[in-house]
Amino acid sequence: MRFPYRTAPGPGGTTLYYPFIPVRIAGFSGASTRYFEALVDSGAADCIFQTSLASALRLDVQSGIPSVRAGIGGGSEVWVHPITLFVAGHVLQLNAAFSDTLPLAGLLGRSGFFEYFRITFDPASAPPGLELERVHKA
Amino acid sequence: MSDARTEALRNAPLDSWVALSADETRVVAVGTTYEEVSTALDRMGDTDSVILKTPAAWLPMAL
Repeated sequence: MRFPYRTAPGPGGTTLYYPFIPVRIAGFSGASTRYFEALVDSGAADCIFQTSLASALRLDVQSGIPSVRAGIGGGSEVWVHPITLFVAGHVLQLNAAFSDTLPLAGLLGRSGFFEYFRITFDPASAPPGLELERVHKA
Repeated sequence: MSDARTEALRNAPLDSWVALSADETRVVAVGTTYEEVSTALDRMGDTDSVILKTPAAWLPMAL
């Protein structure tokens, strides 16, 4: 499935393109979010979501496993929970981190996301986009 | 569509949660939390909009 990159404002009235894709997440209770945009980020070790989303999952974020994630802005405290990720017609079970300081709704990283897909970034096409192909490991 | 989306986001409040219409040309709900935006969409009977979080500033992202 191909997803055109989504646009966002840049400095000086410019337009920037990012590999955002629509996803939905659910918690142990079965309650889920609406669709929101998450950034496909090969630099992220795992999947991270904003704690504001936890209300939809009826999740007590700080009851999760505490951990820390490092980013360009330094270290950030996170809490890890098992969740269900709905993406591109697929349903994945994974452990995801929740962060108060994540500046966007979600990051889809290597553990829990990239391990399930062959992902082709194609920024040179018009419009730029990415292709997701589900892979099933033996 | 992309230009309309970009302009809609440029005019949206920063460091907020927003819902974009299904065609991504208009901001249809704004809140300080995900729940506020989701509740607003519930009230409108809107099931098609997609939610995103705006950053504190529209700078190139490197996370």
